[in-house]
Amino acid sequence: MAKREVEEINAGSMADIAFLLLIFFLITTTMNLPQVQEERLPQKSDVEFLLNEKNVLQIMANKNDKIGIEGEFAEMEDIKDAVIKFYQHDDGARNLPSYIEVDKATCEDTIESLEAALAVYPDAALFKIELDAWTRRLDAVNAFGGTGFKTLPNNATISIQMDNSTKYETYMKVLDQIMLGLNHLRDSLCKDKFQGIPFSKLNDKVESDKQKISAIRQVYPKKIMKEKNRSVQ
Amino acid sequence: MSKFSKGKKKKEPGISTAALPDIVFMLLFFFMVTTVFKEKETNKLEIDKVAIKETIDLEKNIKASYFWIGRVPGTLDDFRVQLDDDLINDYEEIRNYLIKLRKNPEYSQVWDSRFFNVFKVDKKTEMRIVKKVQDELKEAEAFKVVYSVNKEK
Repeated sequence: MAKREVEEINAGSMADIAFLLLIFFLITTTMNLPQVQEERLPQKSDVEFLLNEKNVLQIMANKNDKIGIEGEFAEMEDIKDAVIKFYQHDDGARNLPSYIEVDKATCEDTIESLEAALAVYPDAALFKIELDAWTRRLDAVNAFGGTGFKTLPNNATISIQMDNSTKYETYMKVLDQIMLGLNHLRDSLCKDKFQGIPFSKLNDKVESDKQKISAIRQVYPKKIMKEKNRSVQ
Repeated sequence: MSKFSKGKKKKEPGISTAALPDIVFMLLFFFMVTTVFKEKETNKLEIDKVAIKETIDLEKNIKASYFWIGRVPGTLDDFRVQLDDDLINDYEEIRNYLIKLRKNPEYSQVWDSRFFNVFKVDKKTEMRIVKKVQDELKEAEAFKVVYSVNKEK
């Protein structure tokens, strides 16, 4: 028997494989992003909005960080339920906002008449805001596959009032509770309309998901108004 | 049977790996140049962040100005405000700083879309300080605010 020479394995392509891996991991690795809570400050304006009392959910915190909802003392955890009740309640309930019904026909009619009005008064800012709102509502109806929904009127807001001496922690917890309530509603609506997908799983980088997100935001908009700090009893 | 002859076998020339270091350095330099550290942790104040449940990820590739509000470490003095790198003595400085920042085209192009004011505030801070800072932001027309928090488990 002839003795065979053991051949050496060629390691020249090893580097290529290693770098392929290296580049793959470099591209796919994402750092843990910082966690934040968002807020948009109001524009500076001299216009005082006239608010209907029942269209406002008033949340206050005094200098001892005690919470008040609609003028009565409450616990921090109560805010979540109050927010849910504010957005979702029986029609005609006392001291809660009445809904506006949104469906395809209403949207189209309103948009048509607003466009007609804008043709006559091209500078009417209020008409433009309304037209914008109803266009977005029509988009939402289409995203839900043509079914209508009911939502709060434009001037319904959650108002937060903090004492000058309230701790920042209390303010953050109040915002957190509001978002807990809102996200709970958004989540159940999302699961209901879009085959059980939770709201948090929608990705705003994907075009189809983006439409779903904005549709759900039309039904449950985040509307928080921060009032001037003053002393809260 | 000549096809299978094990006669004279040519020796394969080894592949030269001399270019390998060049490739490695090319990659290294590429990533060194493109990596940007956004969060400048030149913090002069002591901050105990709030932990809350509902948080969102801070967007990537943003322009930001950072506001720290807290105490100077080791003291029990009043709360101080730090804007980017320096402590603020007068709240008006914030307005002027932001207006100056906006003159930079790098910032003005994204002012209404990807420019954020990131707040890192100690949980014991009184709201009056936060409010005063935000009044200055409104003056400078910088309306987007995010609060840096810890995620509550």
